Amino acid sequence: MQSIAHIFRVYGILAWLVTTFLLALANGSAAEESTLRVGVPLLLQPPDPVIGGFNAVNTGLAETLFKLGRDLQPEPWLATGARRLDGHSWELTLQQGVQFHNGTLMDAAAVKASLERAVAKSPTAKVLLDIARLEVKAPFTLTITTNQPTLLMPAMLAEPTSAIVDATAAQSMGNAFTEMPILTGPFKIERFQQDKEWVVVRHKAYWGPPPLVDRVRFVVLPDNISRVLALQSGDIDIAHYLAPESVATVQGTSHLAVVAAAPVALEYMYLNHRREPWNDARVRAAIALAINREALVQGVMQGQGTVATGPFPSAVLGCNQLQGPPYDPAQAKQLLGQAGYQDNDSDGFVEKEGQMLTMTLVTYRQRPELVPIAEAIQASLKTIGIKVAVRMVENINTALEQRDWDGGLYFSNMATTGDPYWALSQFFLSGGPANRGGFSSPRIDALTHQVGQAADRQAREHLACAASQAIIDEVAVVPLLSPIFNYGVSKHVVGFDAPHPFFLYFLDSKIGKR
Amino acid sequence: MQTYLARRLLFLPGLLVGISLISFSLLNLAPGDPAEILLRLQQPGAEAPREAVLALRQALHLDDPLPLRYGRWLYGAVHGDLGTSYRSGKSILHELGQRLPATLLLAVASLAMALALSLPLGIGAAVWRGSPLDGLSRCLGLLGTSVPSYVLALTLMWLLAVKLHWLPAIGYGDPQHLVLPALTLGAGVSASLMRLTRASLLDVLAQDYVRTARAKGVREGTVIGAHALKSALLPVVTVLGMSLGHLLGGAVIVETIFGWPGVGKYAVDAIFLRDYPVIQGFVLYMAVIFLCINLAVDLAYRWLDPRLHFGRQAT
Amino acid sequence: MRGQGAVKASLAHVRGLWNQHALLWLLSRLRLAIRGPLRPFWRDPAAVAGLSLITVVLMAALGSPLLAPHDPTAVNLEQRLLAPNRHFPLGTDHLGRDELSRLLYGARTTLATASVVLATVMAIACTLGTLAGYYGGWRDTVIMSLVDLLLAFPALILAVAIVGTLGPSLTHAMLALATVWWAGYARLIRGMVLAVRQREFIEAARALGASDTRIMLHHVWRNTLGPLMVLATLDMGGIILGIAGLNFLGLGTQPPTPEWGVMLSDGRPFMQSAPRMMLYPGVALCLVVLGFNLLGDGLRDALDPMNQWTYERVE
Repeated sequence: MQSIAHIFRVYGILAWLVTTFLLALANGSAAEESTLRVGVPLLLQPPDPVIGGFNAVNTGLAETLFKLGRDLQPEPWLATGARRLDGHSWELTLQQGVQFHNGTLMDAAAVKASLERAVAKSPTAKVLLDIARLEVKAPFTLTITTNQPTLLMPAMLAEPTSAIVDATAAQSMGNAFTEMPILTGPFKIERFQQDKEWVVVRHKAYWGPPPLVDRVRFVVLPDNISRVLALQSGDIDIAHYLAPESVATVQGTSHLAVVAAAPVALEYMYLNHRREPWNDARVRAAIALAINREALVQGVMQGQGTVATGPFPSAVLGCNQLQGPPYDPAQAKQLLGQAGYQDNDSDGFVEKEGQMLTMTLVTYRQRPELVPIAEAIQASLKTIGIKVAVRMVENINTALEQRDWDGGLYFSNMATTGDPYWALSQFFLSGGPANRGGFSSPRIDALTHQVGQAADRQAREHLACAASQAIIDEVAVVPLLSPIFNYGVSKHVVGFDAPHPFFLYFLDSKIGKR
Repeated sequence: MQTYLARRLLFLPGLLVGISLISFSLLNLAPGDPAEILLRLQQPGAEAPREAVLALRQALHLDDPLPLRYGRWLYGAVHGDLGTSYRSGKSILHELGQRLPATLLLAVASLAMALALSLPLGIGAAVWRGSPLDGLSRCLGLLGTSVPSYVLALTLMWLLAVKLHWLPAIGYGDPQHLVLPALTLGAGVSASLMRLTRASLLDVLAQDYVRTARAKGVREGTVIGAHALKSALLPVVTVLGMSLGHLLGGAVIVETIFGWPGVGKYAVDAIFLRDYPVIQGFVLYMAVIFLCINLAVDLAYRWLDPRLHFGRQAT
Repeated sequence: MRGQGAVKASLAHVRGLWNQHALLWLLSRLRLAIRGPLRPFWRDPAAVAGLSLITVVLMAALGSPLLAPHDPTAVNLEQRLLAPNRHFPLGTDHLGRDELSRLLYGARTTLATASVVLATVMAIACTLGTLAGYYGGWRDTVIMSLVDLLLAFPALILAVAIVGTLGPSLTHAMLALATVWWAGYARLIRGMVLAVRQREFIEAARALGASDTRIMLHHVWRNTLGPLMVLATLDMGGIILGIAGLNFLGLGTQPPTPEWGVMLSDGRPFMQSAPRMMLYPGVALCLVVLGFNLLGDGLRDALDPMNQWTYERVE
């Protein structure tokens, strides 16, 4: 027996030694001073713009010919200007003195090669840019001819998959280019490990203001809570996307701060217009009246959002005097009554001709706040007598295509291309690809086409606002709220007080670390 | 022994083909369009134009007939090419290879920690049955199997990384990054190992030959160490093998929470993104691992206790 | 006419006797069971504690409509995240629903779901395991290969694959868990059937001409019922945690059904701001799993002190 006890004693001492050693290791690790560490929820694709365009721009590697400014209007970036020659052609003048990450000079020929590659390899770029012909007019002048006439070329050229790459290098590097692309941004790729991290280093010959940090490390932390914990423990300096519940926690921590970007996304409810009774305008209006959007923002989003009146967040399209439905359940019940729905059997739910009014509301987990929003809507609609069944689906687009749903919660980034015509034609035009509820209105179709034809910006915006009001009145969809995109930032970070509303443009030269 | 080994190895390719065929068919019955999912990934929250989706479908050969696609995959697999991921366009074999070291490291570290925790406690609990040590080990064992892994992971992270600053919360590379994930995984495994060791050792200690050894005057330490432990560890070996197999399949929850770049999260991401080739590749990988480990465990059994025999049970 | 009445009367008389006899038989069995093989069980304080825990939870689950002070699905955003007070004894959750009511109703859902899964698992495993063990031959090979396949795959990933393709819902989650879990039992039952099959009285019964089915049902099952019960009790905890794991990935119960695993994962974002949201379901889960484990351990210690029934699923 004694020998066993002896073994245990030895074991205990060994365990103590190992633990102390590990702890010493932990405390002894030197911090990497001029590396900015950013925690992101996803980094699903490699940095080659034609595959993972968003990521390439988001991490400061790639640049497009135009970018969306803080007012979401196209601004010169790698191009200095664009001039419309006629219906189908645009003339672009390019920035001079831009060097690729390998030192090659960017000129019109390089841009032409890059755009041709983008159109060949990225289906989105092909459709958006719609290029018929590219001609080099001068060393830094390029003419683009499109198949269909377009007024929006600069906005289209902000599409991330069309970012300018060194196409010759792409050709010679073959598959290696996917992970180590040659681009023009303030940072160049040093190391890429999919789903884990990628590291970018300063591009010394950058044409713009030089970056303040030597190195930025993007670490993938999909779990919202562990991202916050990593921020608190000092393992990362910036955390992308704080869930609403974590905002208060980060604000309460002394060495951290919360930095908010103006909301450019919309969370809303699709209604299936192909099904009874959602094709009845009175029933739709009743639903819009029965949902307490303010309570959703304060209660579910913990104040991290703004109530959405129309389909465009105000940062994307500022309209004065948009009239949205108030929160008025009594009025909602009245409207339902007018449509023929009464609660005859006192079970709390309304019926018409013996059929109870039920709704299948689909939502998806990739946007965590949509689930409590669905539950809140379920409760709100119950007060006016509609029985809602919430169904979580794995892939919302497939589910909405299958047509056996009544309501669908959705999150959309309304800042794509920065122009309202794009969103209107996708979501609200009859037969639009994102018009998942099958909504159709001649008035809105006419307005949308007018927006497409309008030449100057003010006219476009005016018409788009009119279209927005029509969308609200006819309840094409039920806009709910615009979530604020929050970053958690350590006090060591400088130059990141007012981020660009579109988090595509997260990393620029101004961010630094003390 | 040789014929047994030969027979097992002969079945291997047939089994692998069967497994891959089943998984391929099941995958393609599942709803969800990989092309559309991929395009939506490129711009989160934005719309993918319909023509773009159709073009990508063509590029990925998604509309070819099923037998043709399976045949193509099988041909590649036999030549060592598991195809390329829809998502990244890279070789799946290469990607699996990149993630395997991380998973291997975590699996081995977790099992080592589990053994270090559970063996002494389990043996002690059996040897000194009814003592406080026994009670403690039972307690820990029960607690370990009662807590969901993500609760344990987040609690440990919060306690050790945020509150006490003893360890880094996330990351991969240095030894201290390994501690928290391995501890979380190890705790779960060690709980069941502890109970198994205790039960197994108790069973062996009650056997006749142990009583005989004691009666002959052999020292207790030798009785337990030399004679009893060897047979008591047999079931532990089986469970270790199974745990290793599962851990090599990746610990999804721990990988997600600690940002550990392993195989499990890779597989689950592929499932959600309908990255068919990756899922196929992963299934094959798991089948190979399982079959190897099974064989190893059976051989270990044979070595530890030659009395056992293999093959069909005598009727 | 009178003859018919007499027949009916005597039939009724016989039926009455039979009922009486059956009841007496059942009672005598129960008494034997309690006094006899289960006597060590009643002496073991841990086992009795486990039984009491389970009974309490069961009563809470059954009595939840009476015990719950509020409607567990009543959303009220004005009163969200309230600390425990007189009106809400355990406080409210992030949507203003009463935590106590959700906990009580959650007991129902959790226990009911786990029981259904367990029953399904038992049904499949018993059928397939008995078939494989009793007949042997090709049935055995096919079924055991299937079992090996299922045991090889990491349980969570397979469950995720099933629910991920079919779509998140409680039924699919239960289906996924049942599919993943039956394999270990089947292997076990097959082993026991093999062992029992070799006993002489089976030969004797067959020599007397009894049919195969009769032999299986009567002799084989009566001997495997004990170990099955024990292992089922022990596994309830595992199944409950399996559901919780699926809920972590958002693949299980649909809102707003209260269920402990869902409550746990709902409380995750509030881990630092309102930790009691995770505490209540966490402790409840822990206690229930603990209770089942203690109960199972106690049963096993009483019925199988030699620990011959080893078990293989670990995670």
